[in-house]
Amino acid sequence: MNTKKRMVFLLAILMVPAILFAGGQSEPVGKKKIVIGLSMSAHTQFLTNVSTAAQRQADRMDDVQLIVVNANNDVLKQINDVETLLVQGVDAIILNPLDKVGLGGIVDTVKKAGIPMVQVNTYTTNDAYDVYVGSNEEAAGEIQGKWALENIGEKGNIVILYGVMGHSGQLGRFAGLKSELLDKYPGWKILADQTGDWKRDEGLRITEDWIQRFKKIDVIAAQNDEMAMGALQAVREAGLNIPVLGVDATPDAINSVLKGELALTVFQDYEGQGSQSVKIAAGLVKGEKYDKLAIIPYVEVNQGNAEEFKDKLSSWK
Amino acid sequence: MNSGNKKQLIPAQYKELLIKYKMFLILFIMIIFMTIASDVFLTPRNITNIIRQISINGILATGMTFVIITGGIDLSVGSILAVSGVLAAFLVKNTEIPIAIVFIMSLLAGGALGSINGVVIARLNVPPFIATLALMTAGRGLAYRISNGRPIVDLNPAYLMIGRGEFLGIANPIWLMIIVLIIGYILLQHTKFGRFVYYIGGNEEAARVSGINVRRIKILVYTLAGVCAGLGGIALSSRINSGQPQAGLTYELDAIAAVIIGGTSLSGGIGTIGGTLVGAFIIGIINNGMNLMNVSPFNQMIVLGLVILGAVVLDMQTAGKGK
Amino acid sequence: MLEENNILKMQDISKSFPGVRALNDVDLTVKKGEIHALIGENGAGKSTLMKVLLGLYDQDSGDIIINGNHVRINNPHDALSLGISMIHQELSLVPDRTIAENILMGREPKSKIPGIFSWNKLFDDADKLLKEIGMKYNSRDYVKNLTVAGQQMIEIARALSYKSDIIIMDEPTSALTDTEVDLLFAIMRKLKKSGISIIFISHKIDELFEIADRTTVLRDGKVVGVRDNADLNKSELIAMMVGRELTNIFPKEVVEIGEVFLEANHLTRTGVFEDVSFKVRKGEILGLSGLMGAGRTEVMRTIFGIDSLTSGELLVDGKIVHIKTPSDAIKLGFGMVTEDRKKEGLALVRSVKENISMATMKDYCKHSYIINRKEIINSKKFIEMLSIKTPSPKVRIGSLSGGNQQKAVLAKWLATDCRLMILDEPTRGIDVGAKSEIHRLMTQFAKKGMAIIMISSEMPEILGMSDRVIVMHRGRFKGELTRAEATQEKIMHLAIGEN
Repeated sequence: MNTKKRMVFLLAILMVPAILFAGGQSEPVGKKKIVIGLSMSAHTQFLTNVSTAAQRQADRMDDVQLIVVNANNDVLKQINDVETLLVQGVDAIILNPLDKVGLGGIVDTVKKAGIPMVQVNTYTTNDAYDVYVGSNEEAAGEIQGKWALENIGEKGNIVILYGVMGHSGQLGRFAGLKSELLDKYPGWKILADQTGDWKRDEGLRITEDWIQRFKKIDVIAAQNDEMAMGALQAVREAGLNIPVLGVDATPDAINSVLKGELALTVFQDYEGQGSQSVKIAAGLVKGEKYDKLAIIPYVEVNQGNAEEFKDKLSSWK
Repeated sequence: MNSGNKKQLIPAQYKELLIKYKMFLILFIMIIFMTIASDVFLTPRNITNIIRQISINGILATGMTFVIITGGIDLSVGSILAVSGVLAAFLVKNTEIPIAIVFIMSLLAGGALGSINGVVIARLNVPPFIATLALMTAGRGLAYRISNGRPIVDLNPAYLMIGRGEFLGIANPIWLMIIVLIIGYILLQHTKFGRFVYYIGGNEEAARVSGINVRRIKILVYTLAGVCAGLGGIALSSRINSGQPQAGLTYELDAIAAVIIGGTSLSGGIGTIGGTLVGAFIIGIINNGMNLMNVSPFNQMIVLGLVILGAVVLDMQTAGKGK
Repeated sequence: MLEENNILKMQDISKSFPGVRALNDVDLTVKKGEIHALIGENGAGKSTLMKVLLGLYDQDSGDIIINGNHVRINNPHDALSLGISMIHQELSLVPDRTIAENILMGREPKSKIPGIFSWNKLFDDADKLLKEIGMKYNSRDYVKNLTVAGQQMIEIARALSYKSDIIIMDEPTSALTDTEVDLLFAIMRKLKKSGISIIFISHKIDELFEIADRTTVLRDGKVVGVRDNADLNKSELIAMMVGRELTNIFPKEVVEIGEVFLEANHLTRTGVFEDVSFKVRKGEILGLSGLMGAGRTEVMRTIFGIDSLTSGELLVDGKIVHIKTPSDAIKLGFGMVTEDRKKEGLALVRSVKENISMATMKDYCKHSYIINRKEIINSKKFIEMLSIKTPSPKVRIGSLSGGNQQKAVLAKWLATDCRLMILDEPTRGIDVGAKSEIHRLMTQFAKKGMAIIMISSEMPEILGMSDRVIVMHRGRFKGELTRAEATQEKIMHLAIGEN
């Protein structure tokens, strides 16, 4: 009868979680391994590269097991993620914080629990963590500034696409651009600046509007490649020739530079960041000592050296 | 052929009880399941985490319970949460206003927005879905305006105590949820206002004919939901140390899910605060459990969707009981 | 009994639900070309039995034999293909579609293009059908433009269009006026002549005697008796139904009538009713009669503050009053039992006690805080006073029978200590036993000095209960008759508009 069918259906629904859970891991296998929890902030292409590099490193070390979680752009979820990792009894935590301030509290919680914490790619204002593995964000901005100076001149009009506001990358890259270009050469004017939240579609939309508004844009500085690619699309669709600068050196961006479209990107060494964070985290567990800052340098990728770079990247796959 | 005395018939009252408390059964089953599946599930630390993690949703869902019992729905609580959060952050960061006053002002802001919903629904007769959808959009814009599009960060440490502090060993957000639950329970079960909410949900026309000021109660109900959302905004912004205009996105769905899973019927007239708490717990346990088992976040969303579906089917099946 | 003459034989049908034994070895035999009445109080098992026949329920035990063949009816589709169709008590039409679409829903005629149906043929077929039955409707009209009675007729037309051998009619005349009832009976006799059998469920005993050949009486899930109507008289029938002799159906006693309580002068609501005036006195039962759509309910709704008056004045105890909301009316001591308790009277998902308290919550509260004891004491008082049959005040009121639900609505208003009670069709759709109880209660209230306005479309009820009768026609007041003067004919004359 109707009632019976419905009860069966309901039981089936309740069984689905069981099936899914059966597929996932239940407990850390082999207690001898060092278990490291990696809390990622979001699913951008760059960050995915970082976590993949981290996983590769963990695979290479047979005394390390890596648990990866992703907060999907939600600060509260990231706090929950770290709390859950603590409950699971991890030996160390690598944190890729979504923003500078929101996770301040959880940093203290982790340290109170006596567990080493490494922060990767971005850092929190609360500096109670053990090691920061990342790149000096200012350097990326400086590289962009230098390019503008050398290729356009001592004065010009610039528009800036920011990442998520408050993010250490956003703050740092702008600081670098400012100190290298805007502060030294007052002839450079910011026509407009807006946040594209690291997203390509936002970069596209905002740049389209800017093209409508401004007659003369000399260069578009985007704080990451996703937004740069979006801006580039807008520029090309309008039939214009404005140079676009990005950061990250994602494969997309590198190909675009090779084709002569994107003017510049800055390589943020995700391989170095990912692998070093795991190495250092495991080392901390074993009692080794490290400097607080483990800086992985940025490299400029322009239309001159793009070819060589591409080859280097494929060697990592 | 006399087949009458074969089976022992379950008295109608017991069956009604079972239906009323079906969500407790589901919660119980889930706890057993998770305890078996993970040896860290039933630890004090994890349980505390779960309770803390559901606290904001629990606050929102309490207000939502009232709304859904009247047969309505409120899609705007996420946006109201954002407005109250950025407002509080703004005031705390840029003015000398005492934190207690900021607290009250943010609650009032939430209530004011909620009352707009109430007036539009009760006086202009706009369907709740549409009215609250509109406020959801406009409210989000308001949040962006107040904050100028970017998170307001680095707030007064005293303010942060609301979301990060403890009292008697229990995190403050949990206390806030407990207080809201208790007030909600008393209002709903033990006051005239709560009873009127049930009457309106059970049969709005009958309530009107019986002399109940349906309009007034509806406005109050949506205002209450707004105040809860305001409180949620304070709790969140003080916990993550920033007033974010994009906070609370999809929070209304979690609140609605908790209410429905907790046994409140979408058709109105039935529901309890206790049930909502259980519903919030079930969602919290599912999220926590799937995290413990490292289920991908995408699978988590699928499972949650199925659970909500199951809850609604169960609701439809038992709503027909007793003709 | 010649078996070949039987179109339907339901044998030893039993059906139980949790806690309730709805049918207990019930037999029902219907001959070909017979109009067979099925009667019983609410809760006797009539609708359960029919639901089994229609495939909506599976019987626990027992057989169904149609035309000599044992059959299994698993769903309404099976029932239809076996030649059984039903006219439901509740209308199931789509108001925004045309009459033709409603009648032929699911069986729309195809046109030459595959997959597309022909509007013209649809209307033609429907008109033909209506003509065959003898109904004068244009199948292109929209159902929502019809009166309730008209919609009921369309519902009937739809069932008839299936050309079934067995037609079940569940309270088909509840919304119909006498003219339409006559038309329906004429149709039924025609069907009978062509060999179609009709199972006729109704509470209106007079109709049964007029149209049915045999009657099966159900009580508490069992068959109490099957009789040829020729051998049956009314009081014997009622006795079988309720288990006791009910000689006095309308226990109207002589009550001392006091001063005027409510005076209505020249009430008008544009487009609905015009210039309606009347008075009602304490202790008096004022019957308000008229055809469907005369505007009686509408007048009462404005007096109770649900709808607004365009012009006119109301006086209570001689003083002018302005009633803008039901709350105003209640404060003046009015109570209103609406026409449809499911729509405006009760919250079916809430408990009995909660429904009884709906209009008087402030009496059980101290500063808004509910004092449970007070409320329970009050509800128990009324449950006992009105003999409301319920296992406890806390059960869902939706599980009570229609008669007990109606009593709960009465209790709700009694709790307000009202001095005027407006009753709109108070005993519609309620079995004889409960009906009589409600009438007895009305008399009791009147004795205590309550003024009562009773809207009713049942002539015997109007004649039996009223001290005075006023009649409305098309939104206007047509006439007033005292109890002594009133006769069916006089009332009907006024009701159809003749002076």
